[in-house]
Amino acid sequence: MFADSIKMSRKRPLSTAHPASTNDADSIFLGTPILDADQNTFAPVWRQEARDERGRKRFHGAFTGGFSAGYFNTVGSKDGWTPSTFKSSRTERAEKKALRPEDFMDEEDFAEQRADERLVALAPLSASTSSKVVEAGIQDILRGAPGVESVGYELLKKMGWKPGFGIGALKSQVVAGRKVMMPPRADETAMSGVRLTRKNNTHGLGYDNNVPSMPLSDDTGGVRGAWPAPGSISTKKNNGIGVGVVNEYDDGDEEDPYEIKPIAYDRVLGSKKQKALGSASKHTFVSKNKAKLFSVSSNSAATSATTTSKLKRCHDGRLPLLSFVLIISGSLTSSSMLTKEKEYAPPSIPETYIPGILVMHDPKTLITPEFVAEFEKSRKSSSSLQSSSAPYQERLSASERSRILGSAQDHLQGKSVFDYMTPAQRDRLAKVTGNQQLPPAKSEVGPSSTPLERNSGERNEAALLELVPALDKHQASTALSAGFMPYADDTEKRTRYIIYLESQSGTRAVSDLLAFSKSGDADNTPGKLKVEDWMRELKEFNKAAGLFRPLKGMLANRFTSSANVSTTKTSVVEDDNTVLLHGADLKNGLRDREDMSAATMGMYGPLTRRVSIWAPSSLLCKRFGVRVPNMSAVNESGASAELKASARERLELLSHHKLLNIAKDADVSEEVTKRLEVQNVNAGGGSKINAEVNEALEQTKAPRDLFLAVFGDSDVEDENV
Amino acid sequence: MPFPVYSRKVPLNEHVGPVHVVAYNTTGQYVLSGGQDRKIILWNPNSSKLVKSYIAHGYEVLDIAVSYDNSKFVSCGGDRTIYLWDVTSGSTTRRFSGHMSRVNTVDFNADASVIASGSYDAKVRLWDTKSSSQRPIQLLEEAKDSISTLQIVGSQIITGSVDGYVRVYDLRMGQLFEDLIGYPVTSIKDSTDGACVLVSSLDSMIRLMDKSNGTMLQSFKGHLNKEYRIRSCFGDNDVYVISGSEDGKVYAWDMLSGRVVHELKGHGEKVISCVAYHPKNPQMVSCGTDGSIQVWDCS
Repeated sequence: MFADSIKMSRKRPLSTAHPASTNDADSIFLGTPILDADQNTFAPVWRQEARDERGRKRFHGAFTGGFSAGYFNTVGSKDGWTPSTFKSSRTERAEKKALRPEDFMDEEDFAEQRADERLVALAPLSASTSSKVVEAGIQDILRGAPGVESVGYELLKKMGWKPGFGIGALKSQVVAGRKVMMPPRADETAMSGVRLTRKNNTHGLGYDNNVPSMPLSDDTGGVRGAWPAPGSISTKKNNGIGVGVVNEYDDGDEEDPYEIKPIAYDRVLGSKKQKALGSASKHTFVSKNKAKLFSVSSNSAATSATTTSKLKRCHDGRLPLLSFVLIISGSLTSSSMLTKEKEYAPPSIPETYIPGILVMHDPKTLITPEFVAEFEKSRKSSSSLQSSSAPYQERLSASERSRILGSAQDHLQGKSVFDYMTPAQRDRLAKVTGNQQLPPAKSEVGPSSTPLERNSGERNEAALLELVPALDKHQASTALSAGFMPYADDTEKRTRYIIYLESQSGTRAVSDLLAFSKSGDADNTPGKLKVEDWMRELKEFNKAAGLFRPLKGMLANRFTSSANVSTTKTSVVEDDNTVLLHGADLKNGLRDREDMSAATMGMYGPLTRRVSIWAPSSLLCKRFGVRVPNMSAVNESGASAELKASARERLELLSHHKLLNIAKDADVSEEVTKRLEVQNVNAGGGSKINAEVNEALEQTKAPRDLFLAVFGDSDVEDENV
Repeated sequence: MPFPVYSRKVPLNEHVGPVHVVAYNTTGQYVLSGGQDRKIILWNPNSSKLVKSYIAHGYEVLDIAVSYDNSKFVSCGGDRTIYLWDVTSGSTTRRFSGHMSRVNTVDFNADASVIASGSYDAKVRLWDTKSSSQRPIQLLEEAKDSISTLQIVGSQIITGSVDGYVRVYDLRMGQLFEDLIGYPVTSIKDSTDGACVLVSSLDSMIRLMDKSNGTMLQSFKGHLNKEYRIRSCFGDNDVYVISGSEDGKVYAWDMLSGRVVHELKGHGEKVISCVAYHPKNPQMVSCGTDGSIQVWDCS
């Protein structure tokens, strides 16, 4: 059927492509065809590459026609392989070298062997404790939440079970001289074969560890199955030597033992014939004794013939599930796990806990006894098995449940969607659905929070204005004065942006913004926006105002705008958008700037002069014999900073003093030091620094009492601390 | 004092090619000249005799400055390096490199601890002679075009640049005063009292600018200066303003009135690139692109 579509498949090599059939034109082929089962790999053989776990190529060297296959194929080592010497003479015979598994197995094999090892519990328990444990086991399984009967119990009771009895088929017993069909006793539970054991692993039921190339076979999920699969044993470490490879050709399947099969998702468990003993892992050598031991039961008592027949099959005659082992009661009834485990008491439950109550309820509702009673009543009525078959409407509705739980209900009191619909909409609905039985429509206004919708239909202007995103006044004005206005391609939007900025900076009434908001649904005048669009646009403007700010400072010096050329003012420091004059301007005769024009006219003066801050480095000042200028004082537009005078003085004096010292130390020429000193005299009017005396160091010691008080012996014995 | 009008050519055959700079030492006893032939020559202007020649530059010598004690001088040129020379030994004490193009101008500060150099790469570098650092103390990058001239006066560094600005960096005040001249500035000279600055520019005009407010106090024209760097200076205690010209004449103006006082022919028709006036006596020296140096005296 898919013959014609084969040519679209990439997976078949060209040689096997079928010739196109004649009715090509008629058929449309979609998808890639499913390949046959025997070509169930993703890559053809010629494309497959064998690599080990480190990505090195395998089967190189001799396999591909070369010579040695050493080191990666583990013949040698990184340093090379030296053949061992063999010497044997009549007098000195060569020893027989004992072969170790390392001679035959490489890392891969070891890894696989380690993966196949499993912990197996061997020793069964004594029979005496078994019955109690069985009963406990039943209880364990059937136990539900404390204080509440579990569903299991209820099911059993429905089926006629009474607590105290065991579980199983009715047995005929002789009671009071008559044969009566009685349920089994609790300790005699005829759950023959069904172990009341906990499943402590994370496999699925029926999981077999030995099926090769299953993705789960690398599972490290802790404890492996509580019971071993039949036939898979490895109690000794050196159990399986690579010799097992030889055994493993299953019925003629020419399987490559080194093959790493890709994941084949269409495999079925048990497709390979499961031998009773030997269909285990490939490399494990199974001794017959061990096999017998494990395939039947781990309890020697159970190997007696009487029980064999029962053991092998369930009571309904079928074989147990794969990897389950049937046991009879009284022998290995208790799972080793159950008793070996420590029984932990269940957590202590607070008294007020009522199982089954919904966690999410209004926390304001107190869980009072009345509440509980009512809850129980409603729960009972709904949870009883009878009510489960009752029609849906008779159960608790959502509103009832919310009422019971005590959640806020003010917005949902029995409202339906039709309350909010207009009659016209309701009729339309009825027409479309064909259902005329719709409840009547009341055009109510929904309890939504936006003021817009609260005043349904009528657009409240004040409400709209409330929604205008606010912009800081200063920010708005700076954005206005920025040289660049966005939205160059949309002049209308730009005007709206400017209006928004003006309204936010105070130069325009905010109500002007409303001119662009739609009023009423029917208003379709061009140039006006729908309210949502208008809101969205305003928010966009709000963000844009933050972005399009004029450049400041150093950055402004790097950029110049093409059209706007602002004039350079005389006074201080940072003006935005300072446009620089450079040689090119001069050569081109750029004369349209104020200062340039002033210069050409010969009007030199304030227009042509520019004062800015320049910070000389301290070393430079030192070389020049000049105090480092106080930059903050300079900042204040040249006006003398009276406030900072004292600080400045101190700084000056200090630096000057330092200079003097440095000058003296550095053996600078006398002229320089003289100059510095002269400057000192000129500058340091007030407090003079006397270089000879250092008061801090030359003070007399404090009086002895003070010393003793602080440092002297005290009664506290932390002197050694 | 009378103006030196009588010239004699200095019979020095040492310079081959244009002489770019002449500079008196502080006493006026000697003159240093440097030119295209990469040589710097120290000679006595009165006797016109060669004292010493300093040869180390790889490219032409563009400027020379003498220290306050006449013991060393600094020169710069096309090889982007600044040479600090010891006069008596004739060897280079130090070399400062860092400029990225030819260095147009150099100057010492008052105690010769700092050398300022201005270059075609639009930067002024301030070098420290006292330490052995290879890096400049500071870099002045405000100019947008080649620095053609600079002078250190007290605690001020005055630079003139081809971008048309005269910049005064005041160390004491921590301020930069930029005065737009409008035309590429080729020469800067501070007046003796420090109140004004003589600025030559490529519009054939010399302006006397007031440093305090940037106004123009006087302008001097009549010479030709359109293409080359032509230095101007004050003469006779700021009575005269003297400049070379591209027409081979030395011009002298009266500073107060701005009238041309003298037009002195020398150097053929060639550009007179530099003039220097004696610190005390009525004498001046001029050099030109014809390779000759003229000493002007009153008699």
